[in-house]
Amino acid sequence: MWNFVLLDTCGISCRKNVSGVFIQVRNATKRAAGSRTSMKDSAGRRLGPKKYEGQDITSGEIIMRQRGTKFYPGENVGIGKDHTIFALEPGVVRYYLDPFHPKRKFIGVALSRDLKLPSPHFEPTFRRFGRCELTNKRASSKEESSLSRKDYLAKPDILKRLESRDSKRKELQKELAKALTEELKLNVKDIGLATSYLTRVRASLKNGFSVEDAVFNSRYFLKTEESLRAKRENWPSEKLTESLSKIDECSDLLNSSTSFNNKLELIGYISEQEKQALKVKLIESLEKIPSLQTKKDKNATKALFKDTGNFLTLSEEVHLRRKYLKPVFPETENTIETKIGKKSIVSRRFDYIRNKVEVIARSKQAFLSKL
Amino acid sequence: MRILVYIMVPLFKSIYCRCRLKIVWAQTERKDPTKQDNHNSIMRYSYTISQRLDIVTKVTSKTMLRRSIHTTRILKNSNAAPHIWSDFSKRPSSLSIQSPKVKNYLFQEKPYLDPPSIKRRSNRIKYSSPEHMDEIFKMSYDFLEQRASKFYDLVNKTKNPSKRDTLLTKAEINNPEVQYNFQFNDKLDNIKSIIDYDVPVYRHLGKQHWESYGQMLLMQRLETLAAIPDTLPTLVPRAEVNIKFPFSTGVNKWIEPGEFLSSNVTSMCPVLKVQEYDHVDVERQLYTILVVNPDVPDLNNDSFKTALCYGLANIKLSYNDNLIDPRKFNSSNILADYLPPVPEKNAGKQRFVAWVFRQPLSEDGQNSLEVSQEDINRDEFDIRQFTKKYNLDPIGAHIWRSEWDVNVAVVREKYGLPPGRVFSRVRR
Repeated sequence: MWNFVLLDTCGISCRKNVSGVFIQVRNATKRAAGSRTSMKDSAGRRLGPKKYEGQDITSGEIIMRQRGTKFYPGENVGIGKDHTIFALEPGVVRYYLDPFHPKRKFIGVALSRDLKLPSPHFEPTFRRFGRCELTNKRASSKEESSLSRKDYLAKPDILKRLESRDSKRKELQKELAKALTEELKLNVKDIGLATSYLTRVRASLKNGFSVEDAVFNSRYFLKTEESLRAKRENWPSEKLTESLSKIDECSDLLNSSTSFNNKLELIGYISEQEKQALKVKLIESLEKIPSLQTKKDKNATKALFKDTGNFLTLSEEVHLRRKYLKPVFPETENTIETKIGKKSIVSRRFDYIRNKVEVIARSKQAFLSKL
Repeated sequence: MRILVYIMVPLFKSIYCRCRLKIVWAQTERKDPTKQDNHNSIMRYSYTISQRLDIVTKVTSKTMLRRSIHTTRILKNSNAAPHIWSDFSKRPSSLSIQSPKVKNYLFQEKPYLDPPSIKRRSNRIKYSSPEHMDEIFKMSYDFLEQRASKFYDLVNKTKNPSKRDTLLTKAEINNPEVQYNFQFNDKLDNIKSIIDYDVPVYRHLGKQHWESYGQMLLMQRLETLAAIPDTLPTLVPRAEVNIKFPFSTGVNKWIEPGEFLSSNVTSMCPVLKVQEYDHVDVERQLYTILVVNPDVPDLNNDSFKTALCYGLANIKLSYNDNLIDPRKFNSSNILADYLPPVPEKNAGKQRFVAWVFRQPLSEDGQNSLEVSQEDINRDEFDIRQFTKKYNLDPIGAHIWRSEWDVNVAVVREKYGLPPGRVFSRVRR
């Protein structure tokens, strides 16, 4: 009975399947399940070259859109965050290989059609200036006076400091002039020149130049300033030589009659030999004072150190002071007290050899400040 | 049980540096923790010392460690070896340590001295040098001294000056006094009595020191700022060049390559220090110095041209006296007077490259260059052509940069230059 029905409904298959195998047919009632990754395809990103080899280009134009660096940025081009290559200069687009990076392809912009890329390694680079001169007076003066925000904000502070430095320098020059005329009683013709020379020498010494260099640098500065001024104002050569010799004269006089002590104060001239002799003498007289026991000894030693700055360097002076005016005297039998009294000064310290804290009582004679 | 032994090398506090010291791990074993004296420690040191070294050993265990040095052995007493390192009749005095305090300590003329390099008294007291260090030092010193005397024997036999230099270097390189002098003194502003670059070993050490940093920095700056190849194709650096501007502001500072300098600083000529480390004929060799600016705007070609900023020729230098300032030359040496950097507004950053050249040595003794004024076209200077024509050999360079600032107008006026052009801010 079934066979008949089948034969009726689908005659062709009936003839093929002579054996009469039953085939069930179901109509689609459920939606078909697709592949997991389908339906996600995006539209094309329009990648690829936008300018080809040999095309003219102006700055900012895009040459290539790409995923990753299929092409690397060569000369006169930039690369964006999505690896878009764009021109930085107007010129001609070139696709090229660089022997320094054999695995990379480059895109560059040649500044003119006859230039080849990569540009020769040992030749000077070909650069474009790309700016025009402002010929309009108003525009140019406006542009010249314009400052960056950073400079503009810093300007008042800089000017203020400049002023304070200037006033300090003037004060110093006044002091130096006073020292020259009143203390040293030198017969200086041009006091302005002398003080400007001395301030320069002083600054050089402060910056760590040797005396010889400081003297030369200051003199050279003044002479160059003078010769530049002569050139500017078209001085006759005699006038220039005269003023240069004036500087020489003045500086020679000051070099032979003044010097700076270790606190950079102006004093009378002391030669190197004199300094050595004074130093030897000072050490001798310091050695003569046996040990500081009374206030009198202390004052005597301090008196010896009164003008030592004139002939000792600062480090020498400090060393000698530390040696002969020790704030705490060495521990001798006289200064160590066996019993701790009311007037004794107690200190504790760690003994590294015995690994113990020691308590030491000392009399007032052991301390310089308590003498 | 293992006890950790920390070995600290107080490089800066202790005066002696470690040069070729190799300490193989020290292993300690504790046998009986109750008895303090019964600690048996096995420490293996293998030393190849050229200098004395002070090591502070800290032991984390509460107990003290007794150390024994494994490799102690008595060398044959070779009384034939002369004390070459303590003989200053033929050797220069700069090979010796100047400070008697340090020297005494190094050779332990009095036993149990404290290291003078440690400034604080309490730290000096705390400090103790490793056991047997004195013997080891003495032994290695004698050994190295003996070897040095062999090099001195070889020096007397050879005549080739560069070979002599290498032998003299080998003879002194392990001398602790030389190493101390070089490491703890100023190498750039050297004092001749301490670091004397006439002596080959100091030149060798100086070159090593320069190559370790200064040379690399210079080459990096020259390449990244494209001074190479914009001025000259390349540079094989052989001499250390340093620049200072002492005249304009009185500031005493060596400039780092590539630094931006204000127009006030550069308003007066620079001072160059050219330190040669190679063996050169000091008596005959003359030098040329050119400072060029490859960034002058060239509006006709919409490009840049090179200007000559400063030029000196026929300068004689020696290994120690090599500061080129106006005391070293007169007007006959000046190829081009100093023109200070005066960049125009919006013209960008300008590079100023100082090149130092060795002049060619001619056989007839006429070494000084005769430069014709035609070759010095200051505004459009072709440095490549110039060096080719006069056969100049570039040995060193330096670079600084300048930019427009407010003071440029003042400098221009001072030098009688016309007011600078102003360029458009936007580049088209």
